[in-house]
Amino acid sequence: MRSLAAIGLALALAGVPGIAPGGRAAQLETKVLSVPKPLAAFSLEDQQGRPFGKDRLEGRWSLVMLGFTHCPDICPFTLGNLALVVEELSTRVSPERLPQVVFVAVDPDRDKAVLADYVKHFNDGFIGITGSPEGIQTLVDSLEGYVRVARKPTGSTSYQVFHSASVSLVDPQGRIRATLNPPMEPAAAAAFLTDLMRRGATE
Amino acid sequence: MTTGTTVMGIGRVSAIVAGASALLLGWASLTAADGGLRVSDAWIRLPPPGVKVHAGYLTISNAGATARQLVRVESGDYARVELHASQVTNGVATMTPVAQVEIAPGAAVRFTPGGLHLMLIGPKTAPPHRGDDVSLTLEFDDGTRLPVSAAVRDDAAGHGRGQGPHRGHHHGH
Repeated sequence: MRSLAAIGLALALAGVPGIAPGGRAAQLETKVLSVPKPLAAFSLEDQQGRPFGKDRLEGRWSLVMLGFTHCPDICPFTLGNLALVVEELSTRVSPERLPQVVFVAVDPDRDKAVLADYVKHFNDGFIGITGSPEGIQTLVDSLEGYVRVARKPTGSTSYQVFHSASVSLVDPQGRIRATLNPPMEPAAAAAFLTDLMRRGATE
Repeated sequence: MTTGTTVMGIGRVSAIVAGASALLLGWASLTAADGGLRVSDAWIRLPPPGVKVHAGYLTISNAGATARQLVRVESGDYARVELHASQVTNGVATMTPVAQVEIAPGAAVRFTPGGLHLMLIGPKTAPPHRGDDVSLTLEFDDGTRLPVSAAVRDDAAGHGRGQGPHRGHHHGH
């Protein structure tokens, strides 16, 4: 058996850089695609039940993340983080260039009923989308993401969901341009996105 | 810190007495049998509406000479509380239950977004509001029980900000 105590200690040590002084504030983990990757067509619904396909990711920039509403730790953190990034961005770019934030809810059985209130909690403008497992998988594959909903044969409503943690930047042509790994320092992320969107507009 | 808040309620008249009591209460309730365990900065993320699983964070320090294990957390406000660790491995976020958490002598363990957290399951009453205090009881392997008051707040406020999945960073603002 693995030592859980050791895990606890390892996590405690892993947390140390976070509180140590060291000027890591501007640190941001990103990956810019050398060739923009067009998303495949997909068919989901937004939190109002309206169709949400690839066309809704065209004509403006989008920040897309995967998650599920029963995720108490990482998903709300990332959504809150994105709210701060967008707030920071709104001081740098015109409203039409401000990316829409799209939360892809990958656990439709539990997500659908609460999705509208859930996304609004973080920002009035955030969009939540979900749909059939196949529809979700199509978009996840297209985003080169990963999702596994570990449903239990007993039908229990308590189960694990594994999903990619990164945020994808999609351009107005519906192409993935970059990914960002949370946590994102808001000012650094805003600077990164502003620069990429400015360059991206001419391509 | 938590008892300090409670004592503030007594009023200004007995401010000096309260101050002294805070120290005494602090000693009594935040200090383990071996004089070592202390809990600080306990908070619960303001939950989105409709969500029945909430997350809580805190820091436990151990000034004693013996390693201690946090074995259980209870709250009268939730059906149950579990210890979990989030991790991002190869870009995939996972959450694993943890049976107990060791606090080594002279060390502190920080529960933070994206790392160790309390998973508060099944709120018994209405979901907590921003600014509410939720009572938790931490139980350790030596039988020590520490009452803790966790404030309900957003991620963005206070020093929880900037801590996150798989790496933290220091905030300049």
